[in-house]
Amino acid sequence: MSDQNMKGMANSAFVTANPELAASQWAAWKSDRRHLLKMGAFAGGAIAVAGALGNVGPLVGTALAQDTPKAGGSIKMSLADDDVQNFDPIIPTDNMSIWTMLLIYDTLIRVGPDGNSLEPGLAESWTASEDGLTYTFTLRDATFHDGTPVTSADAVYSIDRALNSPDSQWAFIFPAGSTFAAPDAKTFVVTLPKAWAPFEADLALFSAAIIPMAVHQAQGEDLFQKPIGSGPFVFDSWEKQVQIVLKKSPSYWQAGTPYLDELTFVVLTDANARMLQFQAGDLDIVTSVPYSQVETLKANPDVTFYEEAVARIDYFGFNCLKEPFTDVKVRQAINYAVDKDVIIKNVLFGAGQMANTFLPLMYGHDDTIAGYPYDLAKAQALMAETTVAAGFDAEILISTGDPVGSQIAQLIASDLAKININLTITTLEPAAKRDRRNAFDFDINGGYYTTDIIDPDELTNFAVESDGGAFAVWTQYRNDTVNQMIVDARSELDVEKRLQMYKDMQKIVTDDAHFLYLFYPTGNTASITAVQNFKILPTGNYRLWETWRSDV
Amino acid sequence: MTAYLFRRLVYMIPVLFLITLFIFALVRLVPGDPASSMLGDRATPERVERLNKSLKLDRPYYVQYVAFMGNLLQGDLGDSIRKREPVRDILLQRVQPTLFLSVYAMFLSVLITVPLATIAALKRGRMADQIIRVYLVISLGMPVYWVGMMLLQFFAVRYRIFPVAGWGQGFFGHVESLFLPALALALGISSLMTRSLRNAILETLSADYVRTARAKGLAGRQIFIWHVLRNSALSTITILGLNFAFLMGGAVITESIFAIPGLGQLIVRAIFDRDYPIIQGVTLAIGILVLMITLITDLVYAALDPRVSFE
Repeated sequence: MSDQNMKGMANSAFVTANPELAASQWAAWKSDRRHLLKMGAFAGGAIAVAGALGNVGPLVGTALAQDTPKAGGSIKMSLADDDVQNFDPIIPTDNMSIWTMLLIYDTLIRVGPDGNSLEPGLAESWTASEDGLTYTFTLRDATFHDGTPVTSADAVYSIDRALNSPDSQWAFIFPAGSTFAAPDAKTFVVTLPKAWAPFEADLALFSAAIIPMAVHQAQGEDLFQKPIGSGPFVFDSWEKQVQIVLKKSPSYWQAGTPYLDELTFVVLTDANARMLQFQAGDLDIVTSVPYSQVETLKANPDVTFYEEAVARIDYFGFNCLKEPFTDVKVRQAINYAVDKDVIIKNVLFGAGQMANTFLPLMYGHDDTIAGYPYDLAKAQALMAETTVAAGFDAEILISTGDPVGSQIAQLIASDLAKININLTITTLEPAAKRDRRNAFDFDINGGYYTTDIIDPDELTNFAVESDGGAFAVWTQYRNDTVNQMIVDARSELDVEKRLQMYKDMQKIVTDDAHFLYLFYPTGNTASITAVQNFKILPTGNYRLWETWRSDV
Repeated sequence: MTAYLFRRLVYMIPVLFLITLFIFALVRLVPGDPASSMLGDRATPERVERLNKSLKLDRPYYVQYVAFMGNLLQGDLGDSIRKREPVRDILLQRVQPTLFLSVYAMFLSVLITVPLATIAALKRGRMADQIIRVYLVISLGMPVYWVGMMLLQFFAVRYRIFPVAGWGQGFFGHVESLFLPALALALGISSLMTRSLRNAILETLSADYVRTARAKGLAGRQIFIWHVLRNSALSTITILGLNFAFLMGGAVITESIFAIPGLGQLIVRAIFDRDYPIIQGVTLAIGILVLMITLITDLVYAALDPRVSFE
């Protein structure tokens, strides 16, 4: 997590492609428990190396600067899901709000340009105590957009809100009982009640963004109609459901950035409308390109296409307490019987790769695990060892309004017919589907998850931990060895040991097959060729303050 | 007439009351709830409970209903659960594009219908009539979505005559930006209206009073406008009024394609999000609009046809 160590060598690809080396570096840095981080430059070269090492997915377009960055110009980008809902860091759970607010606010620590490591944000440096219970942060000189300086009092206020406000949807990321103090204007101290390994990654989450205390106390939630942060872009205007305009902050602490003068985010929820606007030249960057348009855009020389590996996994969960899915062999057989490559090729038009573990492509993901490549013979052999070798009926749940999901379900149904499983596809409205899932009234339930935190703990708690609050994403999966490993990993401060625990965990969980593992899709974005150094991070957001235009 | 107007307005009140009760109950009976929808896949029971408490959704339904009605009588429609903003502000903002679009579409549909129906009726049986009637049948089968996309592709993307999306700034900006979507909608409703107007004109043309007017020596055009068209318009106006409901519904699709920030997109989103205050507010707003349009249609009808009187 130290940028200094990651600087000058590959980042995310390195971490996922060569975790031992990265981990030992990590461990060496962390093991003496005192680490002073300087404000680092950003490893732009990491992007090129990451692409070359391939594990994070090929970058089809040039994300690197060809010349030195030029200041000026503006960019219009689409908001594909909906308008921003709310600029209060502790409330929203939707991506559009999250990714946009990350341009207006700063966090103490933030995700690095490779998307898989951490680097200093508002905190110039920090130290941790031996036992991992006390963290001391030294804040850099920075100002809010209204000119007032960022002080540790603002940090205490903002992060205390994130943990303790009843409106906070993100209270769970810090252990309850954490306390915060501001011994002087530039020092911020956190005291944790127990060792909490994901702490630094959690501080990089948008919900820990630093807001100006004085302004919030004066204006309350009205502040969030015209949010004030210390980030690279200043809020300018918000025409609801139409567009949001941000302007460059002249006083941003990362010297020389942002390059762009203005950003406009246009709400375009209809995929066709989005693509037409891009075609007509009214959009510079278009997000969530439909799969069917991927090939056309890739072939277009006036377009830069970004096929980024995002941290997302699409899967179908088994109801592990319902016959015959109680038998691990049935679950494994189903995994072997489904041909994921066919799905990726025909439904995603190649924009993805087979999923092998419950973690998406992020820090901690183990790519050495074989997973379940298509093997009908093995599937049949496994089924023969079960009590339901003659076949059975099952129901698979998918959401309405999801043509991709529907196609996938049909392919799965035809694959499973070959091992005598008669699958009925039930399409439900998302809320109705969620209700059935919550009542454990399902056989196989489709879903996907992403992450905003580059640490595996939160996802593991959600997707695997039996008593993590989500019942292992409602599969009711229970393996007490794994559950214990999760708890241990949460408080294991030795980075290398912790990484190994997650790898061991992934092996066991994949073998237990509580999911039908499908794929890791890529995020599909396109821009005009004038846009330089644009990248979508695995967490889905974008460091637009480092993007520039070559035609300025 | 004033008494009639007053009575109609008073009758609206129980209808609107029933609408609020109905929609309040309906959204809560349907599976799913706002908190789970907001939290999406990460909606663990603990987080849902926490959010429900924060949003005051854990109170019993009748308590919520009383609170809602109490606020409503003071003109307060509550706050959107998703956006934490007053529903009334959101509504007032979002109703403008939809209303503009609907009226614009109605206006364009009249511009299309009257000439087409007139030509078809006057040149009855000839080539022009045949072509128009074939077109009408085909256009009945063309979905608004497709027509909208075609217009967009041709007039906005290929030949950049009109903007691709949005609803523009200022009155003339709106007129320019909304032309294509309004046209798509107008083409949708004008086919039925053209048919009905054509038939009505044909019927009127053979009426006694028209023969009398001709015998009086009135010019053809004068006869046509003052006698024929006025009398044929009645049934078409009724259809136009009824079409308003279709236009509000068609707005959902057109607003999506053309990225117009109107009521249509608002309510679809709100339904998926189970954003109760918005669903209730929009339904109420549309209910009021439809009732008002029905009233206006009746009044226009009465103004055009002196035979109609108010009880």
